[in-house]
Amino acid sequence: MSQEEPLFRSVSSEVDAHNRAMSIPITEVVRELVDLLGATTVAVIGGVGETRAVQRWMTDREPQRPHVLRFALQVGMTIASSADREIARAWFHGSNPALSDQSPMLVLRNQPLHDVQAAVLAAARAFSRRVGPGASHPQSRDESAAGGPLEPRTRDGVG
Amino acid sequence: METDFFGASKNDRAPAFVSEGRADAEVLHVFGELDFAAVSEFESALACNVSLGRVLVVDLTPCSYIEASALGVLVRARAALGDLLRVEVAQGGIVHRVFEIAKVPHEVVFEAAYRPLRLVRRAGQSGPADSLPLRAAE
Repeated sequence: MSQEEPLFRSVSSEVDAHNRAMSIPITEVVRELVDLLGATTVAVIGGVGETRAVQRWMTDREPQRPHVLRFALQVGMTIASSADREIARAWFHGSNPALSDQSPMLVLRNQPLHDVQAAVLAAARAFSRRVGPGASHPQSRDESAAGGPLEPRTRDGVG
Repeated sequence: METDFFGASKNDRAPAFVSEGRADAEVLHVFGELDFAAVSEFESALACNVSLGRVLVVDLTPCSYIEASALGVLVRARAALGDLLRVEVAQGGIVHRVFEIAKVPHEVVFEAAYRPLRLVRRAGQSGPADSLPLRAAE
């Protein structure tokens, strides 16, 4: 009987998640993200229109937004360390009240990382604390200290 | 889609279109809100994914809103492609209700139609990770 080992590696703390996401080669970042979220979601976060591009990132092509992919892996590992991986996927797809009801996946695609980084991380921390095993992230900062939620916007962008 | 230097869209509510080639069909996944501003991009994405004789699946399960003109694009595409066009919507969502009210042909799925591809390493398997098989997650 064959036993399958996922490529995505669980981490024990937010610091581990950050260190790992920032230090491994970008091809490895993409592989782990694909393993965690699926190629379609990685394509969305990476700002491309086809999963074929994601496959190339795992071999010979450099993604155009590597910093966003590294950050997505950091966030993904933070959530997956305290919740089920399926829940981590759902978190990236779900409409998030801390992000003006947008999904984290589309926030990362559509907005410059420096504008949304703190809000996405704060939302992930808040989520991890709720679904995780109690105080699993004692080093987490408060949501307000991390930047708080995005400003609410209306559908036409005025607001 | 207009993008900045780092590839981020200038419209922070823009939907995302991701195409995926499968053995049996081309699949166009639509994420987010398909509003009036996104209709021309949606139409282009559809046109780009039409291949002669191949089924085109428009996966609207991750789509949270659809505007009437986007529905019109699908109706025209249906007229042109016939049974080669399949539209999938998530059970019970707003998009599903719109399709029901407009009586536009569609298929209802009970969960996200796309299955994330996962790299799997079998016990005892060695070698570079990029040689590992990609397959649909279970």
